[in-house]
Amino acid sequence: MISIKNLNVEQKGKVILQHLTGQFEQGQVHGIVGLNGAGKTTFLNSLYGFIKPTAGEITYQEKKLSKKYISYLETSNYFYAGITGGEYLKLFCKATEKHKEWNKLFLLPLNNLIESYSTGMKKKLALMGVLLQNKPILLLDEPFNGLDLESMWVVKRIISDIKHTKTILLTSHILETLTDNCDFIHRLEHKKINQVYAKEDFKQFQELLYQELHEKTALQ
Amino acid sequence: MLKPLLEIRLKQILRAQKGLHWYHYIIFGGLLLYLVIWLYNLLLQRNSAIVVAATSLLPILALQMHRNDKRFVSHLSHFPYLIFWVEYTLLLSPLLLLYTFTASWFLICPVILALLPISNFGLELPKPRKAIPLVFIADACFEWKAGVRKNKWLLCILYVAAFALCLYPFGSLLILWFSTAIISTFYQRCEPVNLLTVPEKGAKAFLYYKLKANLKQFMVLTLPLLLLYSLLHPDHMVPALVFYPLLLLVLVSSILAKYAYYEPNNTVSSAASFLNSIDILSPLLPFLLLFPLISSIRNYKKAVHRLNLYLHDFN
Repeated sequence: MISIKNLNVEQKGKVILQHLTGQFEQGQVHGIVGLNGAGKTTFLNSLYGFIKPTAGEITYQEKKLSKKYISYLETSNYFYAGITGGEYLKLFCKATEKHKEWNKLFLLPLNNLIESYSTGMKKKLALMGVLLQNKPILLLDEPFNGLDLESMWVVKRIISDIKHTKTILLTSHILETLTDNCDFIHRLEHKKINQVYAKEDFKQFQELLYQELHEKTALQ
Repeated sequence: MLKPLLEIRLKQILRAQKGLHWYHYIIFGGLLLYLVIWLYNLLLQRNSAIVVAATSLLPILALQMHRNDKRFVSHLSHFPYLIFWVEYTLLLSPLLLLYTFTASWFLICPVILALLPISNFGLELPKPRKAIPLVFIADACFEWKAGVRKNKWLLCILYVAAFALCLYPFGSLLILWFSTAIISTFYQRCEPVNLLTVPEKGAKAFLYYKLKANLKQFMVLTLPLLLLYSLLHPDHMVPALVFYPLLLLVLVSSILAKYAYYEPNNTVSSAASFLNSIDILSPLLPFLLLFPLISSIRNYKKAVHRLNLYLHDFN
């Protein structure tokens, strides 16, 4: 279980997260939802260690959370130019051919240079890299961005297959992808996790959220 | 259109100098003076002047083949090749100026004319999709895979030429140095963090792993050449055995410079690349021999500090 106590994060003197507390159980998929600028990516970056929190404690199985346990799929995927998809994935396989098994699902042209890939193909490649690391924690920032319907279905199936042994945190702008895939949805608002919704409350959460958005846009 | 583009180039040059200290300018000034005198003496001989003129076109051709702003410039102007031609002429102007002081001044005109077809070369080069498999390069050396693909023709020619020139004294060694200079450019682009953390090693262990893998790759490809050269020129064995570790040191300093200035997904700063060029020149210029050693030690400390930001969890 990932446990977070009173996490404070600042960037360029601006407070992004304040007194954020939360628990993320193993074997479950946790969705992080929040409006643009709510701090979803900052939150994931803090978990991964890209950003050093100004205060607070993040632990995993009662030990300090470390990169050793985490695979992180960032929103924007960067690749090293001039190498093929297969060569990229081989770096994560440690001399095995495991990437070829995963590619039976994703059907990427692994002998082609990565720069010739489309946005969706790059996303799939990055996701395969994350899966091949086989770490107990997966941080997936917008994993469904740029994916076609078939790939979304494949990713959904993979998440549901591997979730029993892992702790998965994912963000998405599309609420349906969260309600379809997650066991819990954590609402990031006012610099902290304001509410946690279990699967049975998703419908109620969705209605509440749409109501709030309706009121907000009506005021404007 | 030409004026704003040249202004941009000037700004890029000024930006590239950021991070250099006064003593770097003194070193570069000295180096430049040395090169000018050496080149001038070379240009005084007719044959050498012709070789220099022809050779000066090669880097320009390489630049034209690899520059990625060709499409951008072609959107801005109906005659993009004229813009490239002016840029290349300006780039070669110091050399052309040297020619005016020699008896071979008449070579200026053919060089400038030769720049015209070069400037028009490959305006619409298609981007390759399929990549040539590079089975002789280890999986961990992804910089080599990318770099060899980028410079495949040049490196192929150099590799064949290096073996062919083994019969002549020092020819192969000079090509080996030039190839090392190209290889050291492989380390100018920084990998994303997820590739950095793949070996799951702390900063010091990571640098050791990286140096070991890359030096091994270099030695696998170049030691046969060195052996052949030493067999054909046993009297040159000692200079060759002194020269080779210097090339390895150049490679070490290039790798360490990359991690000393590591910025995920970015290229190494121009100032760092500039300094690395002194390291590259060191095997040819005795007064610079210590430079790569000093910069390697300096960059090692910097790299450990820099990488600790990303790899401290693996210490």
